Amino acid sequence: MKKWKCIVCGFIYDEAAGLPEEGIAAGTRWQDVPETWSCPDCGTFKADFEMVELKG
Amino acid sequence: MASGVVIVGSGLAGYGVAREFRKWDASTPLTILTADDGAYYSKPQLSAAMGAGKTADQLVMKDAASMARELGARLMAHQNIVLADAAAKRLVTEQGLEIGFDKLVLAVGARARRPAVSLGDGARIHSVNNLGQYREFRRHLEKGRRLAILGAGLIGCEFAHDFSQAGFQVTVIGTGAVPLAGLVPEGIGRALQAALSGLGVRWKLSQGLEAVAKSGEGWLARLRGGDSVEADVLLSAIGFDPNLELARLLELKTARGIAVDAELRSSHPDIFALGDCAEIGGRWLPFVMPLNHAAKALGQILAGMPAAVEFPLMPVLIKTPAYPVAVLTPPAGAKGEWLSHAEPDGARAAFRDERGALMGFAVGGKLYPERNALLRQMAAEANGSAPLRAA
Repeated sequence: MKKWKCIVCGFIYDEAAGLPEEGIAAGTRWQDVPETWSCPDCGTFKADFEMVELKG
Repeated sequence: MASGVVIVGSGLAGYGVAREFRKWDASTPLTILTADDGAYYSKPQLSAAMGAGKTADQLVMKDAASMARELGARLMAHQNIVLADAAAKRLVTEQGLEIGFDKLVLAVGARARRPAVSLGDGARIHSVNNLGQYREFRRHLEKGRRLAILGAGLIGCEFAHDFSQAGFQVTVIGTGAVPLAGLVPEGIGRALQAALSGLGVRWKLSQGLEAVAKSGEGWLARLRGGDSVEADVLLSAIGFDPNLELARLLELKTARGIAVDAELRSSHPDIFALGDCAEIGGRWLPFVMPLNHAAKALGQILAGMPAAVEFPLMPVLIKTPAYPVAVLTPPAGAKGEWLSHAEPDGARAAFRDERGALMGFAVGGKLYPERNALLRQMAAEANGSAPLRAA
């Protein structure tokens, strides 16, 4: 499981935790997050911005 | 002389709208004029990056040449516009560039407000509102570990958090009685203050800065209440104001920011504005989320498609991980009251009108994740369902 960081606002998507309240189940891998998904904190689109892979 | 779409500004707003425009129109000439070097970086990351000890260069995600290539744009860096004629649709820069436009986008941002204090002995108060200022400030940080931050608002608190985490001795000087005064209910401001104190942050609240003078190797900041603070470096975070000079040259209507409508259109039909310089439908929203919504709509409008910006409910987030805060301010003039709930490590305040409808909220600490449920509740109520009285 990996974590991905929104390079615009710093929001972190944790694959292990998912975002159940947005319908993204725990354990959802980054590549399976819909392309139309956007950062819940700043609205930056997945498709438009790179997410940074974090260690651990 | 070039025409097509010209964007002034290469921050998140300028590049954001360029990217959205190119999704719909790959062929119209696009020119981006910028006063800095055109490197792409994220301004909201400046505070966290400081705490993490990153250099300005490490914050650059893409250089100007890569951005120009990716966007199919002509990028003109280090340009200061000195003449602008809206009727002739023409801009002239100090560097001798003359450029015409069919459509013009102002994404010129805001500038940090300067504190009105007496500065003696060559004292300098920094502000960090762009990458150049970040670079400069980092250079001065090498002078010592004592940092005085002027301003206890959103930016001041984020900087205080990130610097104390990075090992600096931080003192925050604020005019309000609590941090985030006027933005969140007092209880949440106090809880944030306590959490930051736990990281070692010191506070000088309810007093403004009066003067700064040399003291040993560092500076002595004298406060209006009679107190003083010793510091090696001073940072101001007392707010910022939209850059309006270009709009004035173009004789556009301005208020707090450049006045634009829901189509991001200024008082001139072919000139648009977005981001920290713009006031959209009377609202000045200098945050990333509104900027992203505006860029998306404007990208379509510039490509000749009908669109208008529609903002969802957008809470303001204060990214202080020791005690994060989210606040959705009730509409101006809303009648109602704040109902507060506090726990040892978290707090919630809900603003409800006479009917019990949720009109705004603030959550902090452990209850920060509740923001999404509260947003959904507000959205559901706005869609006509009966107000929920839970919470």
